[in-house]
Amino acid sequence: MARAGEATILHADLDAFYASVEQLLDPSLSGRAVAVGGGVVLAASYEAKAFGIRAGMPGWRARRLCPDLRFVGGHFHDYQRLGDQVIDVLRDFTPLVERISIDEAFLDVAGTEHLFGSPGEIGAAIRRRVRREIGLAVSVGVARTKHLAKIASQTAKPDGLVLVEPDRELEFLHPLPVELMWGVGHVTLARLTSVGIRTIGDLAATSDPVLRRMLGRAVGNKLGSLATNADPRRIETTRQVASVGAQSALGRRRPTSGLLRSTLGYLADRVAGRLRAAGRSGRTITVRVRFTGLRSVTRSLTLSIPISASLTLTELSAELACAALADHPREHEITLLAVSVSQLVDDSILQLQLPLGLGVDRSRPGTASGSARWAVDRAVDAIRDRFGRDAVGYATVMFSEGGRVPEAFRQLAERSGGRLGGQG
Amino acid sequence: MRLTCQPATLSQALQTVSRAISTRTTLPILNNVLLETTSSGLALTGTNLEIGIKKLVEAEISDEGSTTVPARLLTDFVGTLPQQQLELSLDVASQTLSLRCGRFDTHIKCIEADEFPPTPRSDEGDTIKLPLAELLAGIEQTQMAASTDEARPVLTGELLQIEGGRLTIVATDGHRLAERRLQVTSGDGLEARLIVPARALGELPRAFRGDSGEAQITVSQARNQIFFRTGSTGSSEVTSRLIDGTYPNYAQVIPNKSSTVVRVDTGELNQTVRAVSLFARDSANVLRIKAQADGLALSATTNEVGDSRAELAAEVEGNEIQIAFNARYVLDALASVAAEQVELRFDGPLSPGLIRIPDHDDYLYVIMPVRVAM
Repeated sequence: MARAGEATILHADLDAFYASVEQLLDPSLSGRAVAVGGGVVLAASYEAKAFGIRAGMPGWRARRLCPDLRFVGGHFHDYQRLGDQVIDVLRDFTPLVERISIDEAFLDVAGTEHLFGSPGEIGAAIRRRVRREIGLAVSVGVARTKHLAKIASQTAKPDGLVLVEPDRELEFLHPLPVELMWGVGHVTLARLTSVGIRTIGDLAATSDPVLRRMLGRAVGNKLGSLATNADPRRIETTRQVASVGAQSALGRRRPTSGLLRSTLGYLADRVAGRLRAAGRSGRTITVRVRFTGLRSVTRSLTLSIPISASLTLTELSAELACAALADHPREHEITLLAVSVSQLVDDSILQLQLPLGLGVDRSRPGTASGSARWAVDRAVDAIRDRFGRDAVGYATVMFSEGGRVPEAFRQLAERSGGRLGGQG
Repeated sequence: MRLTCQPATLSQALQTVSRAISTRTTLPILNNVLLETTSSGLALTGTNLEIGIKKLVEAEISDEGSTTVPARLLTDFVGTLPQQQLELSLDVASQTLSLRCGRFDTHIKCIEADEFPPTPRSDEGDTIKLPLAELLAGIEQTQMAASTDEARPVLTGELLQIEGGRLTIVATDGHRLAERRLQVTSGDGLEARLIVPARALGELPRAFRGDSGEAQITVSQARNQIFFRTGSTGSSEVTSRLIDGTYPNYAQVIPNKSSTVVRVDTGELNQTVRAVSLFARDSANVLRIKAQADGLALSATTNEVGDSRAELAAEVEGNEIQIAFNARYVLDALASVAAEQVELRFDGPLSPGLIRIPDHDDYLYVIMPVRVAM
């Protein structure tokens, strides 16, 4: 257990991870501007970032900024492999490792001083070992809280270490720009800058009621306390995820039934597949529809019996999305759809239903049609395990996609730290 | 209205009719019990507009009349009275009921009987008769299989199918189904498929406690009310509205073939399942049954609790099988089997299992298995 007064939390974050792995695998790329992706930049090396190239940027614009830019396809298996190796290095220092995505993790090194030295020394040792044994650069932040450690590692980039001493935390935090804070995205940033809040210190000086009014209750409270460095969260090594979700940004699209069906089918298939892989199923289905101007609406439904079938989740999501759209007849375009499932339970036991032929049986997993869906999902999962995710899928989903984020990339992003279920 | 009766008899009848009286009603009159003098005694009626229960109490009537009395107060008060004659008299003008018994002199404010919702009349409906004991046994053997899920209202009722001189009672919650067939002693011309709320049927054993002989079932001509009555004078009566809707074609889920047939001692199986299922505490109370050449092996496991396994001798014909059920559903069935031996029929681990009495077809129970990930 960390003693409240000492900086024992480390945040280790690999620098430009995907692009760095590409440079590692192909030495001819090292020192050059590299982008992973093609139509869209998914990740960029520091050399490319120096030209102003950013993740999410269209490929043509990136090429215009840097004509020498080298595009590479993405070695997703190697990302996972090398990311895992880095985590193994971290686990050599303490079992208290909380992986939060493919390329970053928190550690709590309280009580390991006699073995490995001070937290700052451990941070330096981690950086040395990752560089020497794996060949990648990792930046490390050391602080008393998770939030501060994460901010410290961001300021340490590239390839650095920043230690925030407990007695100069606010001195460190307050001059930094608000966008370094966890949870400050485009929308929040725009709202904050519109009222002149640019640094974390500005945020800390703003009263809680004002923040809540501006950002909503939850976000306002959270940012307010983080800005004054109140963050009681501990390292969680076995996070049991409470929900599983996926979302798709659509640009600006008319919500036709075809678009809904294919997008929700795609999202539901992802979510349901991840549930099944973890041996879980869930009772509450939530769909979020975002309109232009960042207005969004959520609809959810709680079933008496938990589900994990792709097709059932697709149908229920579509019903929820249609209900949400029907309530907002004046919204003509949507920009994002999201599906999530919560109230998760272990999926290993299922009471089957008598085939009574009742109308509502479709969504019940134990019915004959439910069992058929279960069998289809199992077959699809088995094929995907062996031949990859794109090997098989629902036609409405597979034949309607263009220019999406590559499948393997999404999987890496979603397979972050949180563990879905007992079996992992 | 003026009469005398025994507090004990009245108290028991009040408790029975109070079962139909809801404590959370929006209509104040429904908190009251209707008291009416009849030629054969004092009639008590309680209703929640869905279910009505009427009991006749032996009484010495000197003046006829009727009123409604707050049921809870009257029941609680009469329940405390000594075993001495109780005299009830109503002051019609003030609607005040006086109760005199031993050293008690009590007055309760009442509401006029006209305010009470009219009781449905059964006089012109179609009627069948059968032995009361049979009817009550049939209800007891099926009632636990009815659903409590209001999302499927039809399944919260039991099907009463009257056809060819037979009454078939069926209940299912979608996981298991119980069916009991009874012979009708009169009224074999009637054909009907009625869905009766399981809660109403559940009141019959209590309402008819102490009664014997024949039970009479009458269906209103509009086919929206059902009346259960005992005794030639109709000493007890339960009425219920019928559930609107179509009962599923349940016959299609009764397995007509089986690859494994097991015959086993009912008491021994019941006792074994009861013991082993103490370790079936997970979400679906999973009890695993293995039928092999020389008998049955039952087992259950709950993480962090423990596990249990038992074997018992049984005649097993056909294939060996391993199948899992919710232990509660199995126990419910075994409690309903009033025979020394019971027959279990299986047709694969994901197909419904059948429980019946060997060489009898008046009772059967179907259970859907639990699918257990391997």
